[in-house]
Amino acid sequence: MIRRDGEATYLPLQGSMPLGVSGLARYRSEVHAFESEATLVLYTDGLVESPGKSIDDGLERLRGLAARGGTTDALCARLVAQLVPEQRRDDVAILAARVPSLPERLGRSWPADRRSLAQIRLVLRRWLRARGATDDEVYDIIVACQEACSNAIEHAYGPGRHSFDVQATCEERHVRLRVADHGRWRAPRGTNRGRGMPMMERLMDRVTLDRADDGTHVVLERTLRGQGS
Amino acid sequence: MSMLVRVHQEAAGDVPVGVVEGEVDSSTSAEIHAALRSLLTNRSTTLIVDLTGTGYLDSAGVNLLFALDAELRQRQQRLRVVVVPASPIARMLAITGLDRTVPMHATRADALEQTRPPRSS
Repeated sequence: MIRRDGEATYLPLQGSMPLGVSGLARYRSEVHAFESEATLVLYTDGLVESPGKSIDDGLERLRGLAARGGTTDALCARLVAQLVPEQRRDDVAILAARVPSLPERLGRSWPADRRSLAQIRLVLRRWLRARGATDDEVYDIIVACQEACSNAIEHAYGPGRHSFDVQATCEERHVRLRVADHGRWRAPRGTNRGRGMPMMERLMDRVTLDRADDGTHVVLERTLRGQGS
Repeated sequence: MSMLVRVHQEAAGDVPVGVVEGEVDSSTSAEIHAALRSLLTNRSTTLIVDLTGTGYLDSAGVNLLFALDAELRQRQQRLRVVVVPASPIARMLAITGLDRTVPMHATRADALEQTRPPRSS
């Protein structure tokens, strides 16, 4: 784990049998903090083991190289260049993952695909917590936002442009989300979507629906009142 | 199955219990619906859906439960839902009125207790 300030440490993990070796193997899951801008590096033992040298040397070299920062691509390239010999006895795999910090104002485009919903939840959850929302407020706002996103995904599209935008701002504890698609508004079909709009209205202070020529914009507003962590 | 959610069965006697673990949204609701429906047999009188381990559920999940309840009623079967009281999910079920149509239980044991037919000895 490479912390935001560049310090690299090994997580204290209990080793288990390699994955896939035995159907009888039991694995323990552990939870460790993963801060914004920190980088998690996963690697196979081929990266740190070399003939005639102690594994501690390999681990220490890896830690030193990891602490030098850079993008995840640059990090992986550096580790391969410095630690993987031309003639090696073992396969080597490295994975590096970084959690980017979220800006004050969120704004990005998402594919008009239901699989975007879970991704949006992850981003919004982190963003709302950073704004001091309570667990209940986080949940309500996310559900309301997902209703608007589902509507954009399911109803607003003909052939052509397949994306929608989600923007989020928070000023003086007033959260404002805007979900905009580029399609023509269609009235909710069937009984299913009929529940979406009343739900949004119950969960938010204010819901505004604007059906413009260039698409449908749903604006969701709610003032945070709880004392979040 | 999706990586977001899984449904597993924990039968309690004749009563199938569908345990929904993970997140229910419109990308996963159809498969969860099918998985829960598949737990029923013609001999079942009741299906218990346990949402204790469900981390997220929105109107797609509520719609699924309303639809499942309607299907069961047509077959003279009964849906019961286990949900942590006052949790965000319990609030969603209340906002949409599902809690007025489908019996809610704080624990699986309570749901099973209500399911048992009165025994005459």
